[in-house]
Amino acid sequence: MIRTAIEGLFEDVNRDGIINEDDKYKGKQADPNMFVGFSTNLTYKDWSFGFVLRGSFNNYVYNNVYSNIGRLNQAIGGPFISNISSNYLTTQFKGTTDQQLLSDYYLENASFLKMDNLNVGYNVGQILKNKATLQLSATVQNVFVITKYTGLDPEISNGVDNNLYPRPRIYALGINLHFQ
Amino acid sequence: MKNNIFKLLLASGLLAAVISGCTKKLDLTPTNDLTADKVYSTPEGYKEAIAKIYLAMAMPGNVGNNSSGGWGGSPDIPKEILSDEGNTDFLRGLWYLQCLSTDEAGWTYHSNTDPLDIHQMQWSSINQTVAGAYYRSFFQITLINDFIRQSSDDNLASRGITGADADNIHHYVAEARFLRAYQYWVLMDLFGNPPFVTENDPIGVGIPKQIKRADLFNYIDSELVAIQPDLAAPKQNEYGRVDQAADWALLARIYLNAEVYTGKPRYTDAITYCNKIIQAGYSLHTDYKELMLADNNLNTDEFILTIPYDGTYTQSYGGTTMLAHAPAGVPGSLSGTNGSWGCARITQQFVSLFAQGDQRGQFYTDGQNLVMNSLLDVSTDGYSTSKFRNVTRTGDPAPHADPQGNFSDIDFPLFRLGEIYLIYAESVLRGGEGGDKGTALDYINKLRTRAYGDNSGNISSSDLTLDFILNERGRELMWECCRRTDLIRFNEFTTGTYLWAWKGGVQSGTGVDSKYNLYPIPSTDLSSNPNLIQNSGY
Repeated sequence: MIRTAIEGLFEDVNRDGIINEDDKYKGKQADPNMFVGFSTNLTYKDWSFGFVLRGSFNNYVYNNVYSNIGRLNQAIGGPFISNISSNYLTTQFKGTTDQQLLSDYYLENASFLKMDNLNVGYNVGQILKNKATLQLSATVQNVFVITKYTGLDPEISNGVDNNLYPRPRIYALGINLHFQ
Repeated sequence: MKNNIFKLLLASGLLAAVISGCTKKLDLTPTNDLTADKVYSTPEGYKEAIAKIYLAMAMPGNVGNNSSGGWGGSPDIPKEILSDEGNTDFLRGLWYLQCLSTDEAGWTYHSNTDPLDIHQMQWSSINQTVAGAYYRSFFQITLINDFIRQSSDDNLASRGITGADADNIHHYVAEARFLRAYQYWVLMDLFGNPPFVTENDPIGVGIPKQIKRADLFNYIDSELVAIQPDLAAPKQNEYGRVDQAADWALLARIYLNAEVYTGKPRYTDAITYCNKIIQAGYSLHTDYKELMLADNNLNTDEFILTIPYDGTYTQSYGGTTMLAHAPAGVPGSLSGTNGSWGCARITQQFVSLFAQGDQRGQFYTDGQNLVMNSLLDVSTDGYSTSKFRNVTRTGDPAPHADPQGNFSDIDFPLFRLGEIYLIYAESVLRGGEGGDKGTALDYINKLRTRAYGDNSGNISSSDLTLDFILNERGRELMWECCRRTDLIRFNEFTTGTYLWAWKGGVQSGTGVDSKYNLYPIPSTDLSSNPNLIQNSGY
């Protein structure tokens, strides 16, 4: 989705001819109005299969990463060149003023559906002349996220996305040998 | 029955045990932190507390520098208000709002931690540079209000402090009240109608009320007059501490600007206090180029009150460290530092105020263009200056010099005799009584003789006009945090009468809305204090 915004253009919300803090309005809430969760476990013969899904709806996040460093001056405005957010490529904001921080352009619907966990297991049975049993399993954590939120992760508890430690996707293989 | 009595006794015994146990438990004081009662238990504690008040004029926090860069870990002003700790000290914030907003300087960089919009006069109520200066002043005022509360007669008596110790503390209180009046002057000048709290408004009870600029003027005036008997005589206090001459100098300054603050001129009063200072035995330091050096603490002939800085004990990226490093292009061998930050340059209009032979600008021109064609990014557009140099008169490092070359030892004069001469002359020209034009001319020519090294720059009585005074103030007090106030007094700050490069955001300069004569109250304070009304136009 391409969103366009014009730098420095704000709505005079109270129509008094001045753009100032009186034009601020109450935005959206960071808390979702609905949580959903779904978990399942299937077994068939020696196979097992399970996953955990979790969703959160109408939680809004202020994308402070974009508002803070999604502007050209952050890259070239200092004595050395710095990294900035790729959001600059969308907005083309130069950032000569610091007005943009209060823009609701950066307020995004961060509803999401996540698969936290997926696992597959297979029970091999007796091995090593019946001296042991073997079970194999494979799990993935943080399998996928479905969201329209443009930042790294829509799950921001306080609603301001500026200091997130990214959640890793973990693949694990398990081999269980049970000696009798 | 016996049984019941026994039970009753047992129960009441237990209850008593529990209650007395409780009482003792509740007597605990924190074991891992300092409380006010501990800090202020001895006279030395009071001296440490007044030292923090003075230190907070120089430092961004108790730690200041952190060798890993930026944040020292104990800043007075939170990161959420001003993102770079090096910008949160008093002088750097004041310089941004008083000098960078004028013809005296432009700033090369424009990233998140730079003073955005100040030179272009396009600031708004969410500007973090404006907010930094505002909260710095209130931080000082909050410290001082508490110090005054702790120093009440009741508190001194209950802590067993009497006699000479108590007298000393009364002097500290007078100095603290001066420093509070000074901060309220800063707020009155920059913001006009700030919130107002004194020691009579306990913390956490109610929210501060707003005060009108004229009422704040009266408060500052009455405070400065009231504390005079408790202050040390001129030059009799320790270096860096407030004496009566500092009090008179601030009075002279507010009277000079009284017409702006209240609509009523007070030029006669300004002359009265200038005379008191001049009669107290100050004289111009002989060499202008020695005014802003690492050992300028020796300039007690001219300096009335300074913020002392030290390369070892007050390390921060604000203060005179910034004033020595920020000028673009100046090599470290000249500035006595590890090199220029490439930030600050001077508009060509300001440079043109200086005639040939005037040594005061100390402009650095190698590789710098006179004309500021570009404001941003091009650090070679506009002359630079080596007015602030971190070396001693002999060209050596100061005794406590920072071996890395980062931190400055240059003290910053908040008041010096040169300004007093100029206030005297201007007040005479504006019709104040108690002085005369002949003396005014004599004072101005003393400044001119020092500036030129001989009498070739001296002026005659017919040259001594108000316009001359404004320009002379620019020349004499460049980068000493007076310029915006001066231009406002002459109605040239926002109007189109005097234009400089990038005024209003255009290269040739343009007049701007008169609302910019005051800075806006930061939106963060407006939303947390419903008593506040924003300055008009913002």
